[in-house]
Amino acid sequence: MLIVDDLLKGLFVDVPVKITKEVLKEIQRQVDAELGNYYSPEGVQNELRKLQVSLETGEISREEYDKREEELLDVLESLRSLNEETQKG
Amino acid sequence: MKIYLYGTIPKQDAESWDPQGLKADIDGERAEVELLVHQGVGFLYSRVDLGGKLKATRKNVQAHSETLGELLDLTSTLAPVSFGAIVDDLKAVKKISSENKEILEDTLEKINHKVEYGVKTYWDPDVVAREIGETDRKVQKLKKKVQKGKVGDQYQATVEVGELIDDKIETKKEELRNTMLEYLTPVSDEWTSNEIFDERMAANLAFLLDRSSQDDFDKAMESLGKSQPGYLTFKFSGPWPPFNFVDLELR
Repeated sequence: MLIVDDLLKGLFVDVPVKITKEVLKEIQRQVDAELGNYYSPEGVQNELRKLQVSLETGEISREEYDKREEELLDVLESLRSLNEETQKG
Repeated sequence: MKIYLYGTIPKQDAESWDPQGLKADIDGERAEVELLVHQGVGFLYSRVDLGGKLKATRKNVQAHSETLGELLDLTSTLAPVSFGAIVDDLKAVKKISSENKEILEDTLEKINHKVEYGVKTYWDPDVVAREIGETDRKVQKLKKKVQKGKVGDQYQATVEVGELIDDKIETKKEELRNTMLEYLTPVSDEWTSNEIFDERMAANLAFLLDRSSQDDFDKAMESLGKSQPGYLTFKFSGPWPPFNFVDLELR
């Protein structure tokens, strides 16, 4: 929860600049990501696209990207199977 | 064995098709790229024997893009299909060809001798917000209210600052997009704006241009990069087959 803690701290220390809608959305996203709360395949796909940006901006290495991507693709596959089963059942 | 599709090429490219030993990488396996000509349209494909589903990982998508890049060098016009288009056999390809003859021909005509370039622009949203906070008078006024006002006023002012900064960021994105278009539309035929799905992304554009304009596009891109402040990072990629300008829904 380090990143989330930092962001929340930022909200109160540097309020005028930090509290934008984007920041609030980002906090929600990071909380979900850290807790592994991917409620929908779209949520996971969104996370994958953000991961792509992190790679393109040089924030993470290819190895880090590949590792996280594998985890997210597994989650995506599980969610899709679950959705299929729910629809069948 | 299944058929993994890359895209379609016009008759004239099909007639002079020479794969020059090209081997594609599909899920780590090497596969030859073959050509099927049906009703005047060429289909580029590989035969694949996939154990399970083909995952859209960075490695697989990159391998697909690399093959398309090489195919672009071997053809004058290539209408790509999205990553992971797999059909059962060549009979299925012929069926697609028959049922979509007109749209396939129109598409190939539209993108004749053309390629695509992508230009994404990234920034650090904190740096942009800080710059707005330091230079915008309205924001500065509200910031003072936050620092010195009563508790209730502070909350209201904080929300207002946030909204104001959001608006200013959107305006900055629009201005940036217009500047990019000023530089890049004179050297391209069409452009499109793709979704901006991350706060670190300021612009996400794709351009369609004739192959003969590639050098001019490179130069325009260089001038654009030099004219812009250092906190912007331009990621320029291409030439690609025109993914963003082909709307092929083959059934």
